[in-house]
Amino acid sequence: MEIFALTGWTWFWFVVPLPLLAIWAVVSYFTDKPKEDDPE
Amino acid sequence: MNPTYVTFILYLVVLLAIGITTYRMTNTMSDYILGGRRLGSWVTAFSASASDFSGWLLLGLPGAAYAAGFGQWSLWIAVGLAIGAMFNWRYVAKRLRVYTQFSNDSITLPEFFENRFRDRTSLLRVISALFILTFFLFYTASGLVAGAKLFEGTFDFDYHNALLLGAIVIVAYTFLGGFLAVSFTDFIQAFLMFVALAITAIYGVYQLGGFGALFEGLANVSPSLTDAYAGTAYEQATGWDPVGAIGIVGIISALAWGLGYFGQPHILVRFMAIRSHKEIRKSRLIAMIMGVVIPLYSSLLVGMIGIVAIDGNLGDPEQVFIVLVQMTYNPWIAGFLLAAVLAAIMSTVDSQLLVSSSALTEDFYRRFFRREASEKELVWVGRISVLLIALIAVFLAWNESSSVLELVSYAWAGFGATFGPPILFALFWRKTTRNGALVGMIVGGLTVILWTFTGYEIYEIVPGFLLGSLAIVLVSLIGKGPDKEITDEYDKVVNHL
Repeated sequence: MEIFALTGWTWFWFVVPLPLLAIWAVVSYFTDKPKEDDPE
Repeated sequence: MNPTYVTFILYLVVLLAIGITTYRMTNTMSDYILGGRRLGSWVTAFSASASDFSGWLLLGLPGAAYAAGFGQWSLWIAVGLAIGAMFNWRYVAKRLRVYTQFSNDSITLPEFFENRFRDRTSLLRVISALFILTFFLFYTASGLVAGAKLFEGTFDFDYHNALLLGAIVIVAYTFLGGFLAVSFTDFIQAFLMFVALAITAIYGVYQLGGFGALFEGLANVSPSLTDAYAGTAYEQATGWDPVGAIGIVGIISALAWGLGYFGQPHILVRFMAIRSHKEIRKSRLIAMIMGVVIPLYSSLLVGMIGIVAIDGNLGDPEQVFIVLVQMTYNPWIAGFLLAAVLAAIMSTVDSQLLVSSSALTEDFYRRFFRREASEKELVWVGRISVLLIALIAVFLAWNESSSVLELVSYAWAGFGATFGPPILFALFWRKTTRNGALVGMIVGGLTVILWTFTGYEIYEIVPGFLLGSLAIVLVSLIGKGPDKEITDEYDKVVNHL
């Protein structure tokens, strides 16, 4: 499969891993919330 | 007067002003090399990314993308680096921040190793400081060479004058303001370089008619440029020629660049300096999106746009960003964008100078000669160390065809394999012993240095990291386990997280 002259796997490696890491950073921002009594 | 000149001069004046302002905020050694652990999340995020990427993000990666498009190693290395950066922020940052404070408020990595393992012989501290000084000297020199070549290429400056000018400005603000100056200038520099890259990439894609036109343009030049698994050989005279697949070893080597993150002292020290570990999640979010993912994408695209947009073939692929900017924008905007290259180089050199200075001051001077030295005396020794290290780096960089540039990938691999495994095991494995860390450090570092003699074509960090880790596990399990005092501290840190 080719999209804009790129093979499917090249597309995958170009489009998936980096945005996935950005999404992980966003999700972990909310899930890692420190508790109120968390020491410094 | 040439507008590019004016922009450069303005930029350098701002850096010096920051050095003078932060001079007054720097009173203790902790202030000088760690900013008194009071960095906010934005400054931490941007300064970590700026000191990480160096001129490589604006010269090296676009150059690789220009020479091979999606093929060879450019896309894989970007993916590997982004994964390494995320794991470093997600798992190492918080633990390192907390552990270094619990371990007798350690302010340098060598000091952390000594305190973490209660090493009364100081061998861990000395060996790690020696590795830091060795690898950084060449890293710093290569940065100075790159900066001088930028001045030389942009303004027709004499190479040696350019080298001295760059070194004087960097040394001036690092000498005066220490860590705070370096971090605040890094913040501005990161902003400058990321904006410059993003603007150039977005405008370039837009001018070519969108992503479809860009990728089809690449395929028309050579089919290997649009295939992540293909190899490409680039020559100015002949252009882009397919050379078969890069193979699994090539892909692993490129992805393995990400392992280097766990051992880079100039990046790890940012985690140690953040105001509170609670700020790390916000820093991570800012750094990953604005300091890693967007810049890496932009950097790759800039190289690929160059293939389609620039007439003729470049003699040096690493000039692609500079040529593209000079070709596309009026001299005022070009001056601003090219100052970003200087920013990228400076922001790494200054951080490396400072970490080297801290190794000399804290790990040698205070440890062996003047245990009772006052804070004021130490700050001044730190400043003189910056000057001394910069002088040696200038000396190494003096020869224009100096081979120091070749040593950059050694330095990244060297740090990654020397400090990566000991840091990870120190933070995550309770049973790690002082001997295990020491042997692991030496095995990792020496493997990188000696790997070239084996003739196997895999990036040195892969065997270095694996053998270093293996050495830590084996030596820790064979010898006497860690003392109760050490495991108690480990438990305290884990409970605190």
